[in-house]
Amino acid sequence: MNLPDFCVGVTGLNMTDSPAPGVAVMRCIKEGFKNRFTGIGFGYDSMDAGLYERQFFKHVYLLPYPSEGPENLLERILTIHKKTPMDVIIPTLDAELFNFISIRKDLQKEGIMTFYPTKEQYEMCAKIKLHVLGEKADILIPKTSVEKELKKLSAGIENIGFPLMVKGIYYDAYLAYSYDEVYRFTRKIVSRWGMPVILQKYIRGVELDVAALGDGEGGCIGYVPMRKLIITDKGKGWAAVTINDQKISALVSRFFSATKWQGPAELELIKEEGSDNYYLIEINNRFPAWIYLSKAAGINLPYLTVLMARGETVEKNQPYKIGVVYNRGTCDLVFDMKQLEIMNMEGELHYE
Amino acid sequence: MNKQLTDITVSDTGFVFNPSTGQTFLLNKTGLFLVKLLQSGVSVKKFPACLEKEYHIQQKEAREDIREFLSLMRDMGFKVEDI
Repeated sequence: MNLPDFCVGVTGLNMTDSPAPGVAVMRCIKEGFKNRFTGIGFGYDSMDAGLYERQFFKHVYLLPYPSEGPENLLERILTIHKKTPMDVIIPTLDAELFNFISIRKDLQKEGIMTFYPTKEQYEMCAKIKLHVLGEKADILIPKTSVEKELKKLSAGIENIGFPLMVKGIYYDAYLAYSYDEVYRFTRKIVSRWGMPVILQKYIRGVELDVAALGDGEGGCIGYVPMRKLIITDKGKGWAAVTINDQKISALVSRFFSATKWQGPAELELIKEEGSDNYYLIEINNRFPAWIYLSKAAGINLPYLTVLMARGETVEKNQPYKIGVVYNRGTCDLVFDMKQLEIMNMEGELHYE
Repeated sequence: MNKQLTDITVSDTGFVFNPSTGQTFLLNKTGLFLVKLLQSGVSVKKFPACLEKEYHIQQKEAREDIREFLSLMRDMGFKVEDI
């Protein structure tokens, strides 16, 4: 019998110095399936390098930007689905998740399965509401002030004290030591992402990160904690090692129990210097760009996400290997101008 | 027994990995000898005599080096006694 390939679509294909997770997620899934598998890539810009990673994707398409709303996203995905039927779709970008949550039922009606957080979970983990989750799950959150108006910024600064982090609602975070710096970073953030901005007490310490997958019932299918070994000037982890820390394990368990999290998550933590306190800095509703480390450490979290989306029974609390290191490298993707032309003119490319 | 010390992985080359913090560091031959003593639960009070026996170093001279080594271990977050 000649069964069709199982087809998974993944978004987030930019591969800059702050890369999106899509290519790493697809690498994990492809290695999980081994054969009879087709990968579809979704980018937002014809220069998203992942669109030209033909080793992982058979078909690549451009999607409308998240600002165009859920209706346009659905229309585009269903058009693609007619050409290249998909079984599962995995979004990997913060800015697009709300749209994907809005169209979840429509996708399911068309036979496209998903396994990402609910609207309530999405809202619960917003940077501006993190302290509420902290109280619920008994997790330390740095002192935070959400500023909706520029004129109230100085009150927020006084409330938090220096040094502090100035953060945008989706992206960007800067460390500020003075009023001047706070105002400068705020203007920069507002020009890109608008208000509000988030002021957060800076916690000095070791940067840790956790990639995890929740079963949607309060359990954890698996998680991989790491310590960053190299941090770029943008604050991104460029090398890391998997670790075994019982306090992180307990924190992750409390998080899943309190949120009944469904799907992928990234928990960014700091272990405070000179104390045994672990602060939760941020939660992302998606896998991190370093997710291939999970596969390398023995838990292929993106592949397990596909299995969960398919409704399969998956073993919980899967173990991982400690002391597995990743060190990110870069390579230049070379392709013909014709491919760039097709991507720009038609918004899709097909590799065979 | 100090669990912090028994949990760390120490290779014969002197490369050390702490699985709970992700820290790695390198030890010289003497440092490696001392960490292995710590892992075996030998009291730090006995370290000068151990060094004298292994490397023929005068105990008085060894004592200062051991103190400095233990201080470095504490700086790296290990709970070790002073000599």
